[in-house]
Order: sequence, then structure tokens, then C-alpha cells
Amino acid sequence: MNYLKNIPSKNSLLIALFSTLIILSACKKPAEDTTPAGNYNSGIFIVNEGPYGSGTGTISHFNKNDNVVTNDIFQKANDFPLGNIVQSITIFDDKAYVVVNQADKIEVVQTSNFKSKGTITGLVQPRYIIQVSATKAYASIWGTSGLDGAIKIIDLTTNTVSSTITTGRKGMERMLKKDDLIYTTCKGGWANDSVVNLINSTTDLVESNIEVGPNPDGMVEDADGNIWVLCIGKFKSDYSALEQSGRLVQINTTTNTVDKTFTFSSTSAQPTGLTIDQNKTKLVYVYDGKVYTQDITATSLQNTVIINKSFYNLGVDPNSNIIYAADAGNFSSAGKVERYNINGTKMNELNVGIVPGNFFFK
Amino acid sequence: MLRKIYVLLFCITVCTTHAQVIHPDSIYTVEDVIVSSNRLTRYTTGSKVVELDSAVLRDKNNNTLADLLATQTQVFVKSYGIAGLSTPSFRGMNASQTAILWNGFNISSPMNGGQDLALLPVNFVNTIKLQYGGSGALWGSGAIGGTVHLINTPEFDKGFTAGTSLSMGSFGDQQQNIEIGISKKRFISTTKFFHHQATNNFTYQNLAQFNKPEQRMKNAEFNQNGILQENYIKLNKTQNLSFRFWYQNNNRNLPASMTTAQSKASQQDEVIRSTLEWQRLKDKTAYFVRAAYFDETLNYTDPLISLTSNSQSKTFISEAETKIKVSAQQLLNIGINNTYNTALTKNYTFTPTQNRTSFFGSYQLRNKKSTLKTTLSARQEFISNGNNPFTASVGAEAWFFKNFRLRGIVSKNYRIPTFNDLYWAQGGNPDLLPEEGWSEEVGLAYFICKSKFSLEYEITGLTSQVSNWIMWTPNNAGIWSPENIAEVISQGFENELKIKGTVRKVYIDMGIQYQHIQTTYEKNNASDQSIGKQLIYTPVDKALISLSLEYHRIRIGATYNYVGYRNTTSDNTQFLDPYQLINLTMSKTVALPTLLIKVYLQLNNIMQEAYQNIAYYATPLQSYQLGLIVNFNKPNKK
Repeated sequence: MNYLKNIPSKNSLLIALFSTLIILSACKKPAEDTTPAGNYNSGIFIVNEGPYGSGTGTISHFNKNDNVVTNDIFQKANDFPLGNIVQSITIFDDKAYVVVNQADKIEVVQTSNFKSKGTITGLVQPRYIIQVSATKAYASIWGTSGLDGAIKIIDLTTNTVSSTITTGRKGMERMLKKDDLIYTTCKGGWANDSVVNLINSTTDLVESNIEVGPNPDGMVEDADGNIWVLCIGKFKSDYSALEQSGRLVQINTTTNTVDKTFTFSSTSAQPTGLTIDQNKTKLVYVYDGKVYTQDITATSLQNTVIINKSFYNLGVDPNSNIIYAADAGNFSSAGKVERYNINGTKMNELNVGIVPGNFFFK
Repeated sequence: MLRKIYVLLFCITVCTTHAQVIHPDSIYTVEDVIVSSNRLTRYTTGSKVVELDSAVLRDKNNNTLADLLATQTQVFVKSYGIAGLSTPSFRGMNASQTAILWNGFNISSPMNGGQDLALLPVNFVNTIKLQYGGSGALWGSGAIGGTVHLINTPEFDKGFTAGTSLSMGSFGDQQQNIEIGISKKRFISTTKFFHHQATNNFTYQNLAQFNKPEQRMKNAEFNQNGILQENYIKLNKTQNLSFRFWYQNNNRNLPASMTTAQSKASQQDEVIRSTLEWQRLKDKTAYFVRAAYFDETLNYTDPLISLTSNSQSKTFISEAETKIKVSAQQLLNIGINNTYNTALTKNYTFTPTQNRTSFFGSYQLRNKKSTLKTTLSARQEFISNGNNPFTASVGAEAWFFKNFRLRGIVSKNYRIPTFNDLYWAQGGNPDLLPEEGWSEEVGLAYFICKSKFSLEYEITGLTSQVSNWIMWTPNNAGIWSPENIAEVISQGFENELKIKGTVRKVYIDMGIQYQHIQTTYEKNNASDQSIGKQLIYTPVDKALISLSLEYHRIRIGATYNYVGYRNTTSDNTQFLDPYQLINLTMSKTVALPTLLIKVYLQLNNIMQEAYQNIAYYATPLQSYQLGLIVNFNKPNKK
């Protein structure tokens, strides 16, 4: 080691080493949100799909009484994330059912504290859940390859799949219960479909399929008891343009036939975000960069613009008639929910999670 | 005797830069020009160019370039799982802002602008050099963050060689290489084969499920086969010809992340790369004419979403350049490059082609002692389906007080949009402009070179700006489309310390590298919350400490990697924790007159760090690789 003593730069070496270590230890940790968990028995639940790829979705809660948003309430209560692409949340009785699409599961949580009460598995690409009786729920799934749509019957006492209703449809999506009938839009999954499927929830048998238009997605019931369906349109096989444009369709629930069909003109923009106001007389939807309303009695598309901005999805709080509009931003950072009155006047905005995509009002 | 070899060894490797100061070697000796047959050696004045240690390359012989760069360099490698897509990031820039050159030819895909490092086997190249920072004027589109140079170097008159290297490791990892070659005075022909496979069925803790259960990785198998054929001919005293051919196929399954229930996705890649080069080297002038043909097929299937995506791209590159020694202190390099790309896939509504011609030149001026050097470079590119970017750079280096070197470079850089950016159906945007920007750096180095000890320390300060940054965002109609919407600034510093020495017959080689580089959005039209925030998956802090000891041909090498926080969302509200990895390699080499035998053991992640490189993609804890290398060499009869 003798020769080391002759080195003139021993100091400079030490300085170099030292400065490296100092800088390393000074690395700052990014800020972390540590808000404590709250009570989630009522309020607005915002589903944040989460970043695409390998990320996790989250649930945000907006407390209407004190105007406080609490983000990521599931992770906070349970110390594990929900998983990839959170599709929807539905609350019945005292439990919330969070459907996680790419994780092939539904997380069941107690609404009071959002603690996990179990996980429903055995679902391939689940989308939505709806209660059909005290002990039974239906979950819509896209199934294997996104082509094998079906309804899974969930036993709510055990949180397990008790059986499957095979429909042969693609992309079983949103469900709506009217009397004993369950209406399900068939969005096409990873292909195309064009019907609303009807199942008798007492017999668990398929009653019929109503042809509505290309890839039906959103669905609401109006004041007259009829059902409105928003078809998002169908792309050409090379995705260069829409082969069939979107449609707004009214189903007469007495005859279960189509009463009205309004076709959108654009061959590139797809309508989305169908919802309905408090009185159930005015439809609200997003189309080609704007938010529109449409009276349920109108005989053609009214083209009434209320907000000059595009949103990823919409919801109307049936208690307050306030529009909740999801702005997913660049889809890789926290999104916003903007609140508007029903005439389109902006009230305020909420900072939520990544890709806000669905709402549940309670 | 051995000690003498070591002394010689490190004095050559460490002090070459220093030696050049005193003895500027004549440029146009034949050997030299073959080695430096592109612009890398002579015209990168002011840039930081790091050659990976050959002992490290040999240790990592049976690994992929992804693994090599991630553990042995400061390049951040973003990997989707153990054998998944792995792409490099230099100084905060992304994969398509990194040029990957194989013997001077850009092998980045015209479709996605990148190259998967997990598909590049270390044993197919002899030399790897990393050029940090922008060098668009030298290498064209994509050389913004840095450039990876993969180089095959011929060795004439070596005789008959035959070799094999066999390895097996954790999770069904096994690789077999065979190499056979003839090397005469005027002719070389070498052929290498390799086969590499693994099941990658390691266990990991699933952090995204209730009670965080232990699970076994599924659908992560891969299988690779390749052949590399190299031929070099000295036609006469001044002319050389070379021909290289690389074929490789890769089959791999792509595992699910922790947040997804399952994956059935798989990917098959097949690639042909061939190059032809003619050189004429005279005292004052050298001419090079070279051509390359690349054919890449990528078939991706994901049955869960009914997706089959097949694509094939073809690239023809032809290049001619001349180097002129204007005077003892002036060098000139002028060249022309033509690159023709085409791609066939149903993801585009037609079959796009792209024809790019660029004219490039460099001029170097230095003083008599070669202690002062400056190089000016420029490139004008003409693109058939887009803009015509002009780039230039000026770099300089100066030696002073014998042991100090100051260097700096300012360069204008660009990256042209990829075919996917331009033509993807739906959303492709044919009106995209190239990304462009400037990068500047200054480095101060200090060298000590003694008979038994050498030290090299360098600190580099750097900045770079990229505008017209291309990002895919949903437009008003909800269709995802790329736009030139962001402006990014990166700034920071890099530290490097290398010490080599011999203590009681033990050869010690130590390195410490630390970098702190912030890469933030100056402008981002798609997200206000991103302004001033660090780009996702780019660590600000990164450190590497390496130490190797060698005694009587027993070598022990250890590396420590620290990778700092990586944000996973562009508003930096979510992030991954830092991780630290310690890897060990031990080897024993036996050298007989015509035979060299080496046995080695690699132990990876010995501290059992559970970390995620990409959010929720599991990585293995401890793993090993055990290998045997046998090389036979029968010299030519003299």
C-alpha cells in the first residue's frame, strides 16, 4: 500500500466520494397523501379507472355536506390496491361492490369504513353489478377474448358466482332493472354487437334481444318508464372512420320495441356519457367535444349545447340535479370532476384520481 | 510476470486518453481505421463516451444487453418484467430518443423508434460504447439522450478459434453459445450461434391482493435463437471488405402485472440484419461505402382481448463517407446517408414508405500537441414524408496542468416521428413535426496515471431542452392521437470516479458513479398539473458502485445499484420507492497454451430486494447463473 501515500489527489478522491454520499442522503421523497379514512355511508363515489397498463384504479369519495374529497379510499382502508382498470361501483344495502375489470374480480366492502368484506372471483373481464333480489345479483362480463359476454349470477350471502347465464352476446355492459326484467346493453366487447338483452330475473332465462344499433353502451330510464340507449357507433375494420355513426334510441318498455332512433352525423366522433336529470325528462350526453341535453319528448336531435367541453363520462346526482363531469386530462395524472348545474353553469371542480370514469350517487 | 501484465493492462486501458495527449497517434494506420471506421472515435470531441470494460462484457457474456446496461451502467433500463420489453433512458430522455447503432447503423425500429434491449445478446458484440448526450449531427434522428454503440471488431491473423459458453441459472434459465472462426492475415470468417431460454416462474409477493399472497409468475417463458456471421477481407494494402449477417428469432410470453388477473399475451420477433462495407484507406484520405438491410417481424397476440397484431418493417441504409487529413492538425469528414423504411401492418391503412437522405460533415482542428481540440459537425436531412431537420454541434476539449481535461459540447438534436406516430389507425397524425432541441454539457476530469495505480474523476454538468415533444393523448372526439404538445427540460450532473491499482498481486478495479438529473415538463398542453414535474419512470437519482478484485486469474466482481424514486403519474402523485441491488460475479480462468477455460457464478440481488421497475411488475428476489466458457485457439503457422 506504500505507493498510495504518494498520491497527490487523495483529498480530491475523498471529496468526490463525500459529495456523492451527501447528495444521495439528501434525496427527497415525493409528497404523500396521508388523509385518514372517513365514513362513506353516503355521498358521491367517483370511480377512477387508473393508468392503463399495469397501474391500479382507485375510488374517490365526495362528501356533499362538507365538500371534502377523499381520494383512494380503498387502499387507505385495506392497505392493498384495487387493481387494474376499476370499471364501476354499485352500492346496495350497506355494501359497495367495486368491479375491477382487468383483475377479474369484484371487491366487496363495508360502506361505513370501506373495509374489504371479500372478493368475488371467477369473473372474466367483469363490468357492472346490479342487485336483483335480497340474495342475488347479476354481474355483466365480457368474458374470454372479450367476445364471450355473459351474466354471472352472484350469491350475495357467500359472495360467490352461483351460475352463469349464457347469452351469446358480445360485451355485456350496463344493466337496468325494470320490474322483473334486466335490460343489458351489449357493447360489442373487443368486437361489435347491436342489441339490448332482456333476462327474466326470477327465472334467470333470456327473454329476448332488442336490436337497437351499433354497440349500445349507456342506458337510462325516463319519467315515462321508457329506456334510452346510447349506441357509440361502429368503426370500419381499419379504424379509419365510423362505418355506422352513433345513435340515441328509445325502447318502449311496454312493447319492448324501439320507438325512436336518432342518428348522429359524425363519422369520427362517438357519443358517450348518457345520463338523465333529476326529473328524468332531460337526457344529458357528450358528443364531439360538447355536452348536450335532449328532451325525452323531442322528435329529433335537438343539438342543445350546455357545456362547450368534452368529458370522459357524466353523471347527474338525482338528489341535487347537479351534473358531475369527469375530465380525465392526459390519462396519466390525477383527473378532475367538474360540477355544473343542469343548465351548464359551472359550480366548482374536484381533484380526484387518475382517469375518473364512473359515478355512484348515494 | 502476471503483475507485469496487469500493470500493462491498466495502463493501456486507463491511460489511453492521457497517452494521446503526449503521442497523438497517426490516424490512418490500417488497424486504427478498421477499429474506428465510423465517426465515433474521431469526431465526438467534447462528448462523454464510455467504453464498457471488456472483463465486464465477458462476465455478462450469457446475458442480454438489458441486463448488462441495467446493472453495469448509469443508463436507466425500463423493463416490463424479467424478460419483457426493456428500453434505455439516458439522462431522462426516453427510448425513442436513444439511438442504438450496430457498427454505425441505426437499428431502431422505424415503427416504434426503439429497440428492445432484452432481445440483444451481449455475446454477439465485442465492444460496447455509450455516448451520453445529444449527437444528432453525427448519428441523425433519435440521438438526443444518448447513443449505444454495439461494435464487432475483427482480429486478423489469430488462427483457428472454436469456443463454447454454456450457462444455467435460476427459473429455468439456460444459454448455449457456440463460436467457430478462421482468422488469417487477410481474411476472417467467424460464426456464432446462441440459444437462450427461461421459464421465469419465480415466486413473488402480490402486493395488489388481499393479504399480499405469495404467487408464482406465470406466462413469462421465453426462447431465443440466433446466428451471427462475420467476414472480413483485406483486398490489398489499402482496401478492406466486410460482410455481416445476423438472424435471430424470439418467442416469449408476456406476464401479467400484479394488478391484472392473468395474461395470455405473447410476442414473436424475427429479425435479419446484414451489412456490407468497403473501405479504402490511404495516408491522407479514407473512403467508406457501406450498406445495410434490416428486416424485422413482430407478431403480438393477446387472446384475452382478441388482439392479433402482425407487423413487418424493412430498412435499407446506404452510406458513403470520406475522411481527409487536411493537415497534421485538421481533419475533415464528409458523408451522405440514405435510409429507406417501409412497414407492412394492418394497423396502418396503407403501406407507408419513407426515404431520408442526409448530408453530414465534421471538421476537427487541434493543436500540435493535441492538448486542444475542437470539432464542428453538421447534418442536413431531407425526409420524403415530413420536415427537413438541420442539426449541428460544436465540441471542444482542452488538457491543462498535465492531468486535467475540460470538455464541452453544444448540440442541436432531433427525432423524427415514428411510423406508429404518423400512421396508426386510428389516431396517427401525419402532420407531426420532429421533436427537436438542444443539449449542452461541460465536463471536468482529473487523471492520475502511475505504474501501479490510476485514478480518473470526472464531473459533468448538463442541460437539454426538447420541444415539440410527441405524446399520445385523447383528442376532443375521444380518439387517442399523438401531438407535439410538450416541452421538456433536463438538467443535472454526473460524477464518475474510477480507480485501478495493484496491491500485492491483487488487481483492484473500482468505480463510483452518481447522477442527479431532473427532467421536467416546461410545457404540457395535455396536463397543466405536469408542468415543472418530473417525467414518469425517470429516476432523478441513480448511483452505481462497482468493485472487482483479481488474483491469479480468480476474479470477484460486485456491483451496487441505487435507483431513486420514479414517478408513475405525470403529476407526480404516485411513485415507486427507490431500490438497491447488489450483484456478485465470481470466476476462475485457466489459460493453457491453446485453451482458455473459465468457470463463473453470478449471484444477483443477493440482498433479496423486492422491487418494482415498472409499477406492479414483479421482479425476482435472489437468482444465480452458473457458466462454463471454453475457448480453443490454434494460431496460424508462421
